[in-house]
Amino acid sequence: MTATSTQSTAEFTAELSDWLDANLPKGWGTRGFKLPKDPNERRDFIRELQRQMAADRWIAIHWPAEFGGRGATMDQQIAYHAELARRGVPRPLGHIGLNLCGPTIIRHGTDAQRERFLRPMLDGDEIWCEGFSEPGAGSDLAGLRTRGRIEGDELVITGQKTWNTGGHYSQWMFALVRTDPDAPKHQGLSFVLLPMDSPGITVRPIERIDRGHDINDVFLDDVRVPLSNVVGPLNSGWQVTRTTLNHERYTQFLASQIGFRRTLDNVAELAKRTNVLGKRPADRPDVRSALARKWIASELIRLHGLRNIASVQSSGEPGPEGAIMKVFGQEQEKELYELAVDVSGALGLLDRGADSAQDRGKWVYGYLRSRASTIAGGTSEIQRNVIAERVLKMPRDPWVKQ
Amino acid sequence: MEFRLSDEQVALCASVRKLLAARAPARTVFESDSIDAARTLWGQLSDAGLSTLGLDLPDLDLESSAIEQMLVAEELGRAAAPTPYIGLEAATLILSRSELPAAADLLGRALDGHIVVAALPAAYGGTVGVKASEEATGSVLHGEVLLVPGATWANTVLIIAEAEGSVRVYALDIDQAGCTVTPAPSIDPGSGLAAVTLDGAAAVPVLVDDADKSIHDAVLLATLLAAAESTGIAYTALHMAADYARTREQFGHPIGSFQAIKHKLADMVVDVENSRSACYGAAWKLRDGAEDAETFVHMAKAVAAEGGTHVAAQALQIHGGIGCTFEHPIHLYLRRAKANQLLYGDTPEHLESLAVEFLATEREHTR
Repeated sequence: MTATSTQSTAEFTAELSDWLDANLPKGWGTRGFKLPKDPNERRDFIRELQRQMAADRWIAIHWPAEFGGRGATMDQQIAYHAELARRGVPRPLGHIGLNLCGPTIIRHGTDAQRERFLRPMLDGDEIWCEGFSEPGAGSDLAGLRTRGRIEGDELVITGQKTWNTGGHYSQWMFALVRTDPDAPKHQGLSFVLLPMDSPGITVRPIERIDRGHDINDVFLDDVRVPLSNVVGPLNSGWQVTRTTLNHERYTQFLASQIGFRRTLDNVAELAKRTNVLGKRPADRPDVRSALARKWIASELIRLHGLRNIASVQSSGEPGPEGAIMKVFGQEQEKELYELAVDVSGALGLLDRGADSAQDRGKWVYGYLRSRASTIAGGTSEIQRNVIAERVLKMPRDPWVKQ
Repeated sequence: MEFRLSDEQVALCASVRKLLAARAPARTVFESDSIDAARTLWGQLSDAGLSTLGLDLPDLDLESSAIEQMLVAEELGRAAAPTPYIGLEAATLILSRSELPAAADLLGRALDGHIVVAALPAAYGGTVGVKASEEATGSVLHGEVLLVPGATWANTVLIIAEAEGSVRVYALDIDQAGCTVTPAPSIDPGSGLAAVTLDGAAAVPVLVDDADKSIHDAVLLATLLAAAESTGIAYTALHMAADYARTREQFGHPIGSFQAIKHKLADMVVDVENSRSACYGAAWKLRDGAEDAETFVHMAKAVAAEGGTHVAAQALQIHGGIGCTFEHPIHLYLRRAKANQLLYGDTPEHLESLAVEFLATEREHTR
């Protein structure tokens, strides 16, 4: 997305701040104010706020102005995320659509597709999920086998998608399917939009390691969508996807840094509050240096992000910081939760339900859940290949098939 | 903090890089005329403006800050150059804080290439071990500073001494009677480590009032510059290893195509960028006079010094057998990285400083 805003960051922030003052519900940010507990009520509440924000172009500010965004500069995006985080404004519904599918439709879609899909996406009325990974295509995504057969003016899709987040509550899925099985693997794919209520779609929950559910298998059995639901030319799905995914959201780091720091503060607080067999973990030299290293990590995530932006702004090209942030950040997140369990010694093993569980077992949950940090969205091993091959120009593995 | 370098800053780095590339100075420390070679090199770097860095000099229409000092330290690290730079920057900071004519005079000489380094006990974790007494002829110093980086090449050293219950800074030329500078053989001859022993040496006070504060700031600056030098060390070691991995073939393929090597290199890239981000963070904070600048210097040193040694050691490993020879230059980088890691506070020490800070802030927070 190209930044077109001519507003100074100070003017931008002032306008945002004024808008929030005027439009956030009464009592927002005060002690007494709480979001609804019930998930459905909470969702409705967030959607109502989202509609209001979208009406005044405060949802996808990185989108061009003509599609409901603001063509925001990176400095404006940083200011935006910081201000929303400061005021505790929840993330909009359908952020996968807003960040991945929306920009793809804006860049590669037809006018009809933009007309049809962007507004409900902004308003949170239509939630999108992603259909990329398959049981046989994880790190080697381009090896995917879900088949899209052309019949007249329809695409008939059969196969299986997995690691799909939110398919059970989404209205739409954007997916990569193989439309030319004879072409080299990167050249036979198409980027297609599917209504989740289509006949032939079955969503089956996958139970996470911590027994929670937000990811699914999605089975596709002769699912028919019009060819007009293909984004970009037929068989150009890989290029279409790459331009979107390569357009890293450079401001994403802020949210992750804020989250990392909040968790770290909680771990530090735990280490000071707990008494493990007569000793306070925060007084143990190994715990102290481990906490210091995690404080460093939280600052490095922030500094890398700022340097990345400086590099994009001065050269027009992202520096190596993107892939570096990813591999560093995801490893650090996993280590942080490990530390959270370790500080309590054997008491750290106790899960919710046990009387002596630390913080009602939330660190056991975090430890298990964060195993996915170094796997989801590109394993650390793949990130390391990317760094070595793109930053240092190392040759590809001799046995990799293109 | 925006981390955008100005055109002037980019040009400064380029000129230092070019000058050093033409001289390839790293190995000269093992030659018999190493002291003269290091002094000549510093003369050239000083002529290029390095001794004026960090000073606000309206007369010369010059203003620079910790950012320029940090960037140059990284360049010196990239070349593993043997220079008195860190001790000299610490010395010019101390001299520039003084109102005394002797300080102004010495600062003027330093800007002309005279090598003056600050003998900071903090460089080896020591305390002030020198006493000053006033005699009819002037100030006289007794005591020892165990390890002074750059003193091997210095013309003048700044000595921190106790005098009448307070701490002051004295300058003494090393050819004074009663002053002995003994170069110390070490893992890294390029650090120019020497012991300074004072047995009734005559010295001139150059900073009397509020010396503690200036010494503290000089230590912070030196610590950041050591971290930045390690970043440069790591950068070159990484690229030497990457160049080697791209061209060295085994089993019919460049070894860089194998993931065992590739992933090691990727982790080294992460280490280098972590070091650089940490140094940038600290330099910008120092430039802005931020309250938490000291915290960020601890962070820079903890990250970059450990990262430098790790990257240099991994780079040596990737070179295989040739990396273990004196002929191959990679050991010059490992030597300097290890020296920088243990000088100006080692990693556990800086981590503990951060822990004190982080956990204490937290305590206030929760009350």
